Amino acid sequence: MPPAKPEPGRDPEMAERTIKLNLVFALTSIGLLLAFSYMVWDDYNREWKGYQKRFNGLEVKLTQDQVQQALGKVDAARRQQLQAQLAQGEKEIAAHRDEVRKAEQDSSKLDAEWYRTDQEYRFTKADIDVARYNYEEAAHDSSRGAERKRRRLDDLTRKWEALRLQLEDVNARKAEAAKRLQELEKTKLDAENAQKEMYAEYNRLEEKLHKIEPGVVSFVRNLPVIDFANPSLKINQIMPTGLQDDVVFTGTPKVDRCTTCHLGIDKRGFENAPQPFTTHPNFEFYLQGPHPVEKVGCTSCHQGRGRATGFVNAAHTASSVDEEKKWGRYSGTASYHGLHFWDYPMMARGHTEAQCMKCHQGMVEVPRATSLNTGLLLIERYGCYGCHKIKGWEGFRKVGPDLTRITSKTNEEWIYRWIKEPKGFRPTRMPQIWDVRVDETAEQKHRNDTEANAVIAYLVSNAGAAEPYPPPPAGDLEAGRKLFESVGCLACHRVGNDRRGLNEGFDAAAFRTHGPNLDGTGSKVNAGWLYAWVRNPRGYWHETRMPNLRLTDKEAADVTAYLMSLKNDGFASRPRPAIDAKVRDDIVREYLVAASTPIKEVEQKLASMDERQRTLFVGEKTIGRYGCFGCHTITGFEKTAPIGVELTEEGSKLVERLDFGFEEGKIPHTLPGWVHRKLLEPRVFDKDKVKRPEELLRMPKFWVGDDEADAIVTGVLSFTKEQVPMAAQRQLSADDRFVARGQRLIREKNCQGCHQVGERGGAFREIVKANLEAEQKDTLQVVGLSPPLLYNDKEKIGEGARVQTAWLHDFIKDPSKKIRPWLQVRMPTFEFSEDETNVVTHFFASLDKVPYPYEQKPELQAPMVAAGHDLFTRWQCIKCHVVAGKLPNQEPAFMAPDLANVPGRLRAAWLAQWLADPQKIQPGTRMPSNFPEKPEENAFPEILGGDQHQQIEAVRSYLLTLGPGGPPVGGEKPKAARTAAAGGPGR
Amino acid sequence: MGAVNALKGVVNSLTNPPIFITLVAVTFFLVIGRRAFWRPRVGLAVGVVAAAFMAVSTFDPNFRLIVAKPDNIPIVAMLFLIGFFFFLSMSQAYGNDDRIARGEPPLEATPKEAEKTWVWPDLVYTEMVCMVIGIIVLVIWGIVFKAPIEEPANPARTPNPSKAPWYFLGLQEMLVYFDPWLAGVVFPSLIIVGLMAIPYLDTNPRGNGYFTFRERRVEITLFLFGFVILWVLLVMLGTFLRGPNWNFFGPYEYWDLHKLLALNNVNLSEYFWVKLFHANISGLNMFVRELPGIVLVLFYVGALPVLLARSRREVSLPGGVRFNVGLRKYYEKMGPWRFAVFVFLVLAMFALPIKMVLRWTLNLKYIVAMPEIFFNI
Repeated sequence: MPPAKPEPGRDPEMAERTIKLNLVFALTSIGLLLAFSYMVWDDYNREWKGYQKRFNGLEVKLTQDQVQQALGKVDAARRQQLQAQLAQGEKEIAAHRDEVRKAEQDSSKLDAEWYRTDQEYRFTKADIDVARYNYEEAAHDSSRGAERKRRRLDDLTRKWEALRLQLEDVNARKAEAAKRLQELEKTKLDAENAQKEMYAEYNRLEEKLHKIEPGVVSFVRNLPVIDFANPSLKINQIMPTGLQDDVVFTGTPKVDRCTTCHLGIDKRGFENAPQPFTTHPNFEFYLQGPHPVEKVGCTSCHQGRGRATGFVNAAHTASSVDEEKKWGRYSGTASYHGLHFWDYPMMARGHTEAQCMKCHQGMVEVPRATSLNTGLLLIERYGCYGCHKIKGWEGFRKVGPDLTRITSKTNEEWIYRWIKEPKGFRPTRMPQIWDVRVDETAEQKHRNDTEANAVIAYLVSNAGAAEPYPPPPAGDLEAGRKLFESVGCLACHRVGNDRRGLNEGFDAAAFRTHGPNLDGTGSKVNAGWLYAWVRNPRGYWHETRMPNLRLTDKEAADVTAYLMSLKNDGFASRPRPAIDAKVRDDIVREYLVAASTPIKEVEQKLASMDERQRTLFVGEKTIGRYGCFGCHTITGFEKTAPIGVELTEEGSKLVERLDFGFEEGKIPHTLPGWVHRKLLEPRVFDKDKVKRPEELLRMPKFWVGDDEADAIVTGVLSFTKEQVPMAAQRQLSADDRFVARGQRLIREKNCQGCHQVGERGGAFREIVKANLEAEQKDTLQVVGLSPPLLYNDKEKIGEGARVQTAWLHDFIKDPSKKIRPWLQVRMPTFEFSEDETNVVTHFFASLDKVPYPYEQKPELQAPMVAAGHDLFTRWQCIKCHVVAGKLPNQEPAFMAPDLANVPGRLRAAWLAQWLADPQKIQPGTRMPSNFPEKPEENAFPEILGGDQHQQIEAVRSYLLTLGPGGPPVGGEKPKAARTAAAGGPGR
Repeated sequence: MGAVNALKGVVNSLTNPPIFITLVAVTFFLVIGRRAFWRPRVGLAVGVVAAAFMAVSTFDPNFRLIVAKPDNIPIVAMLFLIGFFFFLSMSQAYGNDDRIARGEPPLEATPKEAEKTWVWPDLVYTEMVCMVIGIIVLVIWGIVFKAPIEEPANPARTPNPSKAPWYFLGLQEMLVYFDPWLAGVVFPSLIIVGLMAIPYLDTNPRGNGYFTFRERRVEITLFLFGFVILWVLLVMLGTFLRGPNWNFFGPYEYWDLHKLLALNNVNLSEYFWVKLFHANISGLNMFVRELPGIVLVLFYVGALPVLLARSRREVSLPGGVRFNVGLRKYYEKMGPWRFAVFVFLVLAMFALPIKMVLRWTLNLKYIVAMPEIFFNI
């Protein structure tokens, strides 16, 4: 027999142990309960819930305010009136109590009847479908029961038709009863409806308030565990279709949960709310409109980790050191420590526009992205691509002048002072190469002087023995100055600190700084060179962007005399230390050693070089090291690879790949922070590092301002490796592409220095205005005396709609055939290639979406031409307009183009628009608008009944008959309709 | 402040692997055979000092950063647990040894301990309570120290330092001294095979069912050396002292990505041919070139076991540590086959510290270096 099972009661020791363990178990169970409660609480207690609660408070407050406002808008008098009407209505109903009651009873009975009938009607319909199916199946199988089934279908169909009649009858009676009831209660119902309308806004807001106001229901909905069902605090997410986050091996669908905390982003009324609740500064454009948030998401533009619902996890990026300090509390560190596990940190404030480019590819300017556009323009202007390869920018011309013939232009004394400190001579985009370290030592400076001297020796010796230019003929300085200020030079150049037309944006990006500042020219260049240059810039440098202004010899001599009078003697007399042979030899040794020359041979090699060779050697090496050839054509460096880091994917560079040197902590630990610092102090990351001379950083200093650097940073950040699916990108139409090509050329040639194209350009107007002011003339003449507006952005009409392609083509090729010969400013000859000319003409045609290059000619009717001539005479068009070269008796500012050119120059459709309202097309034009819309306002109602369209058609018809010889023979009565163009396209 | 920094500097330099591993290994051998070190008050003192060291050190931001990393918390815990159980088992073993010396049976054999215990409540109930406690600990741990999710895997940008899971950090540390095929394939296999072989090699019946040190001195010392020094210590080293680029960083040192260490290591063949004979090795046949190394290795695994089997010399080190260099006793006890396996495994184990010492002292890269056929020892 087995021993009896020990029972706790029987074995005292066991009982004691059990009790002890019971106690332990009880305690641990409580512990487990607490641990689980902690788990539930921790799972429940999320960062974003706090934000949602806070936002709820803000929204409730806002809605309460709005409710009060809505109430305030309710007209008290009207309210009382309605209440009275309501009372009156009640009274009326009381008076007809029996009638009302009967009507109500009728209506109720009919409702019951309708319900029965309608149900039967619908059920029968379902039976029909079944019967039809059964019959079809049976008939198909030629089954015997088919006939019976068919009969059943027919019966049901008949029944259904009968029911339908019945239903319609019930409906009619119901409507009648309802109408009767309504008539009896009309006064009351009207009042009620009016009241509802009056309180519509208030009611809507009250309803909203009720929905969002915290209360018992929302409290219960949000309780832990219960909140799985339908909580009011919940994660919001946007899933833009087709967009993916790159997670290296694959893409995961983009899921943006930003709106979980950024709750006011698409709601008005939170413009001044604290973050993260602030309304998007431009949500109509970026969350709705062309960038709907459900298609674009948030992180497509802002970057960051969209799936995150916490501050750090979302990869927020601080934009300053101060902000990093302030944000330390989010990461639990003294200074903000962002999420470095995500390769796409959020864009720092102010640089978000950098992300426009990946979807708006192929555009010269992205609409509205001012900071990005400016940044890219600055990168182009400063010529960053000369040293830094940027994919897509390879074809651009070097930004600096050709140095292969430098000796015929200037002298080495000037060059030395210039390259040592370009900004000391005049405002320029040429960066400073030497003496720009933050920790430059005297020894280093001494070395710099030697290097600069050597560079000059190299440049001068490689410029060859250019033939010196003959001295220019003597010119009239004062006449030259006048010409210089009026003929158009000032559209691209300025002298000294002339700020006309320069007031918006950065100086470096302005139209008037397209060409060099000409201050001090007299101290810089040879007069003979200058004379030759202004007459034909391409003669000296075939790649120059400077066009030919077709100056006569006399004009050129005058302008030369004026420009040579601009001296900067202080600069010219700066000291120029002689080359230090010892330092130079040390540099030679350094380069020889760095080039792996055997140490023993270094001295031999050095000894084998004479003084001049050593200097030239140092010059060549220095140019190679600092990359001067990135911007200038220099003999011997035609094929040298640029010195800078490639920037094609710089915007995607990971912050850990950047060397912050000992600047860590002084600047934000971010890519934009680093690039910004690099732009301001290009060599600061060398500070306190021990480096050999050839290892030192060598990016020159451009002296850009803080804001300017910010814009450039935005531009650099736009060079990203991120690939947006084609379907999600902005697709350019064929016209868009032609426009983009044209914009490129327009930017290169600085057309906007003279002409306004779109919102920008026309800097030269400021010069005209200033000239007029100087002569104390009416500044209203500015428009008449300035180069014309080429595209009116507001009305979306421009030169393409105005002129015929063939004419524009010929004019650009040879602008000497002037439209307004009285203008002092000249359209220069750009010496465009045929291809470039076509780009320009196509640009304007595509911008206006007009036919290119051929166009239908309107048929001209003889009577209309006659009427047109009549109007032409009566309106005295020739009072201002030149006709076939015959100038009117007017001030130049009031003269108008030769009408004989109309048939060959203008597009017929444009003419009609122009005649109807010239101000709309060229604001500020002196051309009156003579054809009012209303016939009674017409000055000559007797002609064609004063009809605007008819009269315009008549004048246009007449104008189109004009030609170089003036009006056609017997101009008053042209024989028959004829096509207008003497020189239309398609010749 | 200056004194504190100086102290930190001392600790930093003491934890440099050559010094640190040597110090711990020497301490291990000095301490393991001494009864005096395994008394409760010594254990308590060591535990308190270690805990105090940790507590005080957490004031240093760099120390805190590494030690408090959620990944590393279990390793900190492991160090204390291993220390505790190491001490516990050793002190019990010495306790029993004392009892045996007094002619008493070991503690485990006393009537009280030999008595039966109940499944309920002693076993099942206790287990359940332990489960509950385990769950509590895991839940709270899981909440307080969140599992880190790092960057999306990217072969072009691996994390720096790239660290194996903590339990493999010992293996990874071996990679510093051996070729991957040895440190990653041969040694791990030998460890597993060797652990499996223990019951067949160790036929000493004493110590069954009770703790004892005196009766199993060699066995315990060998095993603990392999486990504590060559495994746990290397795990700890890999966790706390190896930073970016697998460079060594002292416990108070900032893990600077840009820290540079020169690794100017030389192969044995270069020592032999170039430094000793000033010969040109570039034209030598690789087998000729590596002959010294090959001979040495063959001696180590081929001849040394035979020599050991024959000799029975006893060496005594300063400090009173004595051990047999000759293993004749074991050869006689185990027979040729078992002895061969045993010696091979022991020699393989000692290959690691030997290579470490050679690296630290002679900058020795490989004993046999035949990169032509990807074979290096």
